[in-house]
Amino acid sequence: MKRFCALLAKDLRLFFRRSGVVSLALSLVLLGALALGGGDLSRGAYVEPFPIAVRDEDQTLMSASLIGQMKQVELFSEIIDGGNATDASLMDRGAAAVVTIPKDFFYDLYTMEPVTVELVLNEEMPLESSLIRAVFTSVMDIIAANESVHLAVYEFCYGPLDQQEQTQLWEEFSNRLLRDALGRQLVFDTERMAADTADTVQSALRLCALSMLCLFFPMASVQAVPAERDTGLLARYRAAGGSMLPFLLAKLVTGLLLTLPTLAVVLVLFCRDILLQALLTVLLVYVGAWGVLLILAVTAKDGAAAQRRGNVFLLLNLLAGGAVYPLPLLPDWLHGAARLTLPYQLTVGLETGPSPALLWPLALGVGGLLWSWQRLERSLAVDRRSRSGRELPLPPGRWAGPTALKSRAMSGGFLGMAVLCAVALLCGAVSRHVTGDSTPAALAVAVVQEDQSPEANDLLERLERVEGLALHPVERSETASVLRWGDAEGVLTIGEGYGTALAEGESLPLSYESAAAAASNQAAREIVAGQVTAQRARLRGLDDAERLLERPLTDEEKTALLAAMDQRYEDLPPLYAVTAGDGAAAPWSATAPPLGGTLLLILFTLLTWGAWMARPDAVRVEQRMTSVHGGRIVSYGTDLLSLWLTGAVVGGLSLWSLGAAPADWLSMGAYVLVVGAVVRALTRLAGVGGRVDLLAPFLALITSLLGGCFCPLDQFSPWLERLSWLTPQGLALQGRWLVLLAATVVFLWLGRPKTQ
Amino acid sequence: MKHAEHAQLRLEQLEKRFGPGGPGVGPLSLVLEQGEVLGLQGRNGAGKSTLLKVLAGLYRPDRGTVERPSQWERFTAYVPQEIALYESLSAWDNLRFWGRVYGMPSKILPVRGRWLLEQLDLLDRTNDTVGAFSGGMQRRLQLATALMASPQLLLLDEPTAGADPQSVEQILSLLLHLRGQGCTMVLISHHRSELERVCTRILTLDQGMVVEEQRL
Repeated sequence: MKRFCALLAKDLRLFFRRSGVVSLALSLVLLGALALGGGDLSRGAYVEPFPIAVRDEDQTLMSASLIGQMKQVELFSEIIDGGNATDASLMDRGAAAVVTIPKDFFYDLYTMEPVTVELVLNEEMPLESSLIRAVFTSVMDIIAANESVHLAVYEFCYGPLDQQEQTQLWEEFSNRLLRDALGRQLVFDTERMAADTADTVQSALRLCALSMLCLFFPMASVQAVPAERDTGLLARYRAAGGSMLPFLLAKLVTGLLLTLPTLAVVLVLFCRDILLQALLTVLLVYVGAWGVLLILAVTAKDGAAAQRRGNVFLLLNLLAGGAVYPLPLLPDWLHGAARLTLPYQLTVGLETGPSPALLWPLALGVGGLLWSWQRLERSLAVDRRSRSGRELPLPPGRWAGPTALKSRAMSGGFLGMAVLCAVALLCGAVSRHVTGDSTPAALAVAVVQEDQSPEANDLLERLERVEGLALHPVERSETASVLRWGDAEGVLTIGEGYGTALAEGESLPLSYESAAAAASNQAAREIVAGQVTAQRARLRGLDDAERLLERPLTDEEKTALLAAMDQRYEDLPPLYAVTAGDGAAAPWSATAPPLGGTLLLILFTLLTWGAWMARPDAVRVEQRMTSVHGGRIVSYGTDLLSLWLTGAVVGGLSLWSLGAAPADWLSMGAYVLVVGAVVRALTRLAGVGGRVDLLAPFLALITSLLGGCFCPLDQFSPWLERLSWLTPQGLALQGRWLVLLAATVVFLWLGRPKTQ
Repeated sequence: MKHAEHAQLRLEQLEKRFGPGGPGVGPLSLVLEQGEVLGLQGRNGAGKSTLLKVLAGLYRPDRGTVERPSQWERFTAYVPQEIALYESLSAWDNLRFWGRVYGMPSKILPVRGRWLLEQLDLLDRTNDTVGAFSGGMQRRLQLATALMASPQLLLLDEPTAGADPQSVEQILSLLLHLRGQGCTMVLISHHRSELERVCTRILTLDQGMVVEEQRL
């Protein structure tokens, strides 16, 4: 036990001597950066609210009530008063559609006069147009259903209607219409709808924070293993009677202890309702991460290589695991790999609780421990190898040759450079998919049908006829996966007993679980509620007929009345006319800037790779070079050139994979210059310089979040947008090249070598 | 190896101190003739390394002047006491790096490099990483990197420190060869026997001042 405590104390001291306090502080800063700059990227996969214009020529209580109802639809960001403006001018202002309620619409409706509401759709906003058409159609269906039902009932009971009967019909109808229109959202639980929005944002923040904790601290705990092996420390420990198992387990415990402070904050803030479940999930995923990172460290030739591999592993997990870009936004070809990542295991564990799926990270952890144990034991039995390599060509010249050598050395050789290039291409491809035109062609809704009654089937048939809505039947067990991968924006469950409850006017076993923010959530509920209300109206009509006739209807009469309702519905003149018009496209950027992922990658890479320059041997070489004529400039210059070259290659490959615009290339170029200068200056900063690779994940992620890499800048608050100017990412995204160049000069001057 | 004729290195009232009354060297005046091999000895903190670093240009003197021939400016090579090689690179990569830094033409670099490795018995370790070398091998390689550009002035800070006897012999043999070629050198060592074998003049320093001079 004493020995184990000594090992634990040693590992903790090693961590804190290597900028450990800064790392812990940055992990807390990350939470703030996530809250400020993370936004809700999941919105990029779904529909954003949009404005529509309404021209009310009727100017009655009914029309005003209808407009008031529309203002409560969260899908509509604004209801523009059409007034005397033309349709074209309203759509130029960004309206997705223009609705014109004609004069005497509601009165003419009840007196059977042909009357239509005009709906002009903005062709430049196809999905928004399609959705408003669907919502509008649902509302009009409520009106049409009520009208046709009541006309059929009254004619069934009284025969052709005279003026007095029409007036009576209008009075009763208008009250019913208002009640149905007002009550359509009571089909669902509205409180649940608000909770879904908050859940989505919290889940994203929680996942990113926990992913970083589960990946970073295990990496920090095993980073010293290569040095302990190669300097003979491990051999000396074994010779003193020490065992390998506690040696390795002490590192596992060290990482856990370091994770605890920030983990406690995250659990209290984001996981209060599922505390034990979250804790167990995090522990298992942590163990899995530790196992893999231990293998990477044991097989690395030195500590810098171990850190490099660990950072790449961390970055790949964040990119592919849904921690930076949400799972629904990832390309399909990445889904298989995403399931293997540790953030994905976190997602599953936090959503569904402990399950056999979490055996995977446990297996990684135990497997990593056992494999590393035997590998280290074997390494003690052999002499240290000299790792002979091949002679590789070198460019001529005083600048090119040393630059090429330094670039190769920073990457850890050609294999390291190849891995880096592959990561850059992947980053670009993912960014391209994530930030491309990902808005869906239709509102996808998964359906779980637990009731097989005619009413349930009728509801599904009605919904399938709605334009802009795509239904996907699923089993209940598939719903979590469907929502997680974004295959549907929500799940509609038609519970058992739906038909009976509908017929008897009881509360309906109908639920809608959303994966996304409120906008499309509301739209889906509107559409379903409209169809359900239409169904109810038909059944209510039968009751009305019995009430008016003061006797029960026979089965034949019911069948005849229902047929009459259907016929009336078919015979109704169209209540609305839809035309297409031209207007402005959607002005907001629903997705993160395409360049964001590349900027994160460049900073991450240069901080990790640049740590090579802070190594003691590199510092000694730099000092020696000052004795050479012009050596100081050559040393500094070749350091910068190698950083810029690496950044340019990484950024270039990523942008090429992304298919970036020319302006993005310029921004990337200016960004690489300033980041290279900053990294070079940081490597000479006392206390931090030697550990910039350890701090790279936090520094890169925090500045990228605050710089607007993952949330459109136009969605930032004004002060946050100004804060983004303090980051190179923010300046690059805003195209402030001159400022970046000026900052480069400043950091070049700050990092210049000084004579003693 | 060509050397300038009748060139001299002159130090006039040179002084470099770290803090008032602190450690350092000077004021001292010195003339070093071309082809001369000057040895510096003294206890730790006597100012030997400080003097060498001033000559190498790593330190700017607080007072006094250092005058050297212009051709020596470009062809001064400094071998520090610490190993200043890239441990993650191979011996050959380190040689090529320093060759390029010294501005060696590409055609000459491989020939010169292989000759030096052969002289210092490192030819069979050409492509091995320096981090795996023994202390003596690292010392030899460090000397080789300094000699890549055929320096006019060679400054060596304890070039044999921590090296095995075989490495010491190889290093000293090469230094003697260089002396025969007319290379001007300043050499620091704690081993009197090494200085007497290689040097033409030995200065003993104490608290930054010359307390004894011996011509050999």
